[in-house]
Formats: sequence, C-alpha cells, structure tokens
Amino acid sequence: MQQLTSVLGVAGIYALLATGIVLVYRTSRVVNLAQGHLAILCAFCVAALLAAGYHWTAALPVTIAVGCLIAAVIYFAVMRRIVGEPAFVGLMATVGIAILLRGVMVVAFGGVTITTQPLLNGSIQLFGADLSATQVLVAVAAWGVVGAIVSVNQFTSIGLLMRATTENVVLAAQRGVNIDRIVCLAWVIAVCAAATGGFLHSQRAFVSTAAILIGVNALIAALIGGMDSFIGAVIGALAVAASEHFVLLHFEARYADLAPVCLMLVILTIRPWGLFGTQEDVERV
Amino acid sequence: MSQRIAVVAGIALLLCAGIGVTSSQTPQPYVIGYISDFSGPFVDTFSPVHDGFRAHIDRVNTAGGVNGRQIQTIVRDDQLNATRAASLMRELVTSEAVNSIWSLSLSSTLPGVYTLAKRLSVPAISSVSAIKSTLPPAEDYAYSTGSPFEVAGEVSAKLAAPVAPSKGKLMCVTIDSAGGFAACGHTAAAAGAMGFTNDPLMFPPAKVEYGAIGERIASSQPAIVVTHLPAGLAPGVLLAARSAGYRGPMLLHNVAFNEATLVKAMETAGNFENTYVFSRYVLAHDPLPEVAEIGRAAEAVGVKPADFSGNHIAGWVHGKVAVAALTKCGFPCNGEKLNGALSNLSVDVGGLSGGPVVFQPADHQGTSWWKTYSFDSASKKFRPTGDWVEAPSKLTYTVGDKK
Repeated sequence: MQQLTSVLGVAGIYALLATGIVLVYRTSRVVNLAQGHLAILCAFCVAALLAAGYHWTAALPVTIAVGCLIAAVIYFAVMRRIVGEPAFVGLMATVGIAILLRGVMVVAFGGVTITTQPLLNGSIQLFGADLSATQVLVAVAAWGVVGAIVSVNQFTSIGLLMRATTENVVLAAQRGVNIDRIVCLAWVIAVCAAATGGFLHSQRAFVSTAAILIGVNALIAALIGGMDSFIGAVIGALAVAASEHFVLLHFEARYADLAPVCLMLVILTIRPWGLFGTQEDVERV
Repeated sequence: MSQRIAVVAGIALLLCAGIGVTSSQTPQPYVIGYISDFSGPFVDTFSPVHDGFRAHIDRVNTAGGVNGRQIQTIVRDDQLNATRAASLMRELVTSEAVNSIWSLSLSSTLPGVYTLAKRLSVPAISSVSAIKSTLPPAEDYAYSTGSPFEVAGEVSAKLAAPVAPSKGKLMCVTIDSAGGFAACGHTAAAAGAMGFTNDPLMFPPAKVEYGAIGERIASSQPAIVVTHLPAGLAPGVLLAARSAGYRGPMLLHNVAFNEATLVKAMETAGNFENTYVFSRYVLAHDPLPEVAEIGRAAEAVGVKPADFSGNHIAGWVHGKVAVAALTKCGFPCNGEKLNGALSNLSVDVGGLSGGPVVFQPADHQGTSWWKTYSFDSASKKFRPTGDWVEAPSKLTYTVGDKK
C-alpha cells in the first residue's frame, strides 16, 4: 500500500507536468521542454516565501499568480512571435526559455538545495496500512488537479474553444475564436500545473536545480501516451513512475532511469504517435 | 602657444613618471586560477567552498599578502562539465598566466584537468573530490585536499563498526559514478574483512526523487547504512529512508553537504536518532575556536551565519594550503616551481583536522583523519562522538574502480 501511494504520488507529479505539455502542444503544436524548469522555479518561489514566514495558503497562490505572469510573458514575448514558423523553432524557443529559467534560479536562489516543511506530518491509516500523510496528500492533490485540468478541457465552454483550436485552428479563428487568448490560456494553465507539480515535489523531496529533471520524465510520459492526449499523459505518467519504482526496488537501482526511456523507445517503435496520440500529427522524413 | 604645449607636456611627463613610480612600488601579485561549479548542479556545494577559500585569501591579502605580494585569484565556472573544465584550465594558463588551478568540482571533471596539468606543467589541486591520481604513486601535478573516495570507503567501514548495533548487513549507498564505485567498492572490501555482509545500492546521479530508494533501504533493514553521496543527495536519501520506516543507524560521508540541510531533513522526517556524519575536516557545528574564527571571516565576505557550513571550512583549509605553497615557492613562482613546493609540503590546519595536510613526492593526498559526529537533539547540533581516526593514503584493499 505504501509503495502504491508512493508511485501514485510521483506519477501524479509527472501527470501534472505532462498534461501541461499536452495542453500547450494541442493548442500551439509546441513541445515545451521548459516544463520542469517552470515547475522547479515555482517550487523555489514557494520555498522562499515559506522561509520568509508566509503561510502556504498565501505562498502557493502568490507563486501561481507569478507563474501566470511568466506564462503570459513567455507567450506574448516569444511564442506569439513565432506562430507559423517550422515546429523546431518553437522547440528551440523552449530550450532557450529553459536555459534562461535555469539561470534565473541560480541567480535568484543561489542554486542551493532547499527543503520545505511538509503541510502534514505523521501517518494515516488506510486499508490497514500506515501511510505517510505527506505521500497521501501529494497523490490526492496531484491527481485532483490533473482531473480539474482535464475536466476544464472536456466539460467547459473554454475547453470547447480549446478543443476547437486543437482540431482546426484556421476554422476556429474564422468562427470567431480568439486564438491568442486560447493559446495564452493554455500556457497559463500549463504553468499553473507546473507550479502545483513543483510545490508537491517540494513536499516529497528537496528543491534544487537538479530537480528540473522531473520535466524530462513528464515529457517521456507525454511521448508514451501521445503528445495530444490527456488520457495518454495520465497513462504515460503512471507507466514512467511504476517502471522507475519497480526497477529501483527489485532490480539494479542504477538502471532505474533507463526503464522509462526503454519503455518509451519500445512504444514509439510500435506506435510512433504514442499510445493514445493522433496518427496524422507525426511527420517524419 | 608653445608655452602652453610645454606645460601640457610637462604635466603628461609627470603623470607618466607617477604611473611608473606607482607600478614599480606595487609588487607583482601571485596569479592563481580557480575553477569550480558556480552555476551547475552542485553550485550549493562549491559556492561555499569558494567563499571559505576567498575568506582565507582575503585575510592574507589584508595582512600584507604572501612574501609581500597580493594573491590575485582568477575564477572560472566549469558548470560541472569536464570538457569545459579542461578548456578553462588551458585558457587560464595560456591567457592569464596563472601558476596553478585550485578547487575544481566533482570527480568527473578531475581526470581531464589532471592530464592537462601535467602537459602544461601547472599543478591542479582539488578541494572536495579526490581521485586515485593523487594517491601513491601520485601523478605529477595532481593534488587534493579533499576526500579521496577509496580512503573514505575504507575508513567508513572502520567507523561503522562502533555505530552498528550488530555485524549484520552493511548497505553502502552511492551514485553510479567512478567515485561512487571506488567508495562503495572499498567500503565493501573493508566491511567484509570486518565481518559485515554487503548490500550495495547505487542509483543514477540524476535521480531527484528518492522515495523508492528509501523503501528499498527500509525493506532491506540493514544493520547500518553508509552513504557516499554528494551535496543534497545524502539528506534526500536520509529523509526518504526515515519516511519509509528505516530507524537503524545511518553513517553519512560528508561529501560537501550543508549541515543545515541535513538537520532540516531530520526535522522533516521527524527523526533525530541514529544519524551520524563522518568528515575529513570538522563540521561547522564543532565548538572549536578555529571554527568560530572561520565563521567570522566568512561573514566578512558576505556569508550569512545561518549558511555557514563545513564546506566553508573545507574551502578555508584549501586556501591555507594555497598560501603555504605560494609562500614556499617564493617569487617569481611559475607552475613548475610551485609543483616543487607542493610536492614537499606540510600545512598545519590546527584543530580543523586530526593532523596536518601533507604532500610528498609520491603521495599528493597524504594521511587523512576522520571524525564521526552524531546529532544531539537537545542542542540541534552535530557533536563529535570520539577522536580522529587516522587513514593512510596507501590503500589496504584492492578493488576495481569499475564494476
């Protein structure tokens, strides 16, 4: 039971970041390689605010607000200007953003390793098992936010506009959808997801610049599931976390990072568009 | 008009003469190079080491310098990239004419720099990590004041014996790196000879989530866990193991982590028992007058008292060795001459270690002394559990560096 909670917690954080990657890809066809950087930058912000004496109910919303601002800046200053350019331009732009964000982390926070006090201490009895309260909180919160993001996309009017933009951006624009607003909103939601993921990561582990690598696992999850599929991102996140955990616990631990990569290679060899991705989105020479 | 020209020319001549006088009165400084990780993944390790080094050099410069000359340190950031470290060394030697390279970063960057050091005849001295090149028979121009993994591995088994409740399973936890293999390989060899059974656990260096590692430790329930993990990794593994329910003793090799981070990890885990640290130099919590003195010097270069750690002390010792080597070298002091001075050097570091830092022609690491600390939950400080344990640089056990 404890292992299951642990896997669900890690998978939930990956899923949060992966849904952000999928959302941005669906609306703008940009593969966001800076998602891990955004998550950890936000985690540093929360940790700094908590260290300054703010309660988490103030620190987290303030950080999410800052994250929204960063998302808007990224969209209007960079992404909007490269609309219509080849796909790799968007990809390279996110690489540039990632490098910039890493620099910001080092300059603003000294690149140090930070710990945050967990919101919950002690343990919880669940199905007869003694579970860490923090682990349970992380798993529940992460999957709750993932569910909220998917629900917004599936069941709200703004979600409908997002889906219309995904299906056919030209037609959506002709029918009066404000594409600028929709894509910017997608970035904002993606960064909010990253901020939440970063905060929850700080509840489980330490915050350091090295932790940006959670973004790599989120990207692997999105690739496994299919870059334009939310359900794919969720399944991919579970697969990545479970494979890592399984190898760490039962095999040679130093190959733990290889497990999700191997899984991704196998899946992409069989289904290049991922488990639930749309086939026509894959263009290869 | 000609009178005005004559006045201007006269002033110009006086100014030139003044500059000439000034430059002839200011002795040429010693120019040394300093390469470390200032923006890479281990910035929180190497930045404090640099602050400690700088604090010592600043103090010496303020007191008049070495042999009446100031020490000028030219600093470069290798971002923990081995190729970049080697390129920077070449640049510092050829463009800035430095006579030595100090600090460096993790073990992965050392082989390239040491090879280049020999080729350029400029000594390179590491501050935190140390590899086999500095152990007898040492490679020319390669030195270290840091923790050699092989030696730390052997001594860790010796220090584990009084801490472990029984001679059961010893789990050595490290990262999948050359240093990690060396450390846990020698820990296993020494522990086996002492009656422990070995259960090593190596995980990828890029791992940022330690939950499953903690669960593996907890499910294995070893008699003792020994870690050889850099910077934030040791507190991370400690937190994960405690959270997963492991309550046994954990002996952590101080590979430049911050004591405050470790205390925070224990606070978060809600467990202050059975956590031990072994270190080549004293920790910042050690109630020694020398430590307080370094703390004040570090504060003078901008280190907040709350951030003061053993890393500053390691940097301070590194600075002491630099000053001693330059003093012995005299002036002018090129790389070759400094190498001569370093290869026969003994630096008294007072109570910061169990003995002096000693380099000899075939031993560029010297005997090291190690102290074990345990956490005192009343004072919330690490306190020594005993005296220094001597570890010769000549290894007792032979283990392959690579599995």
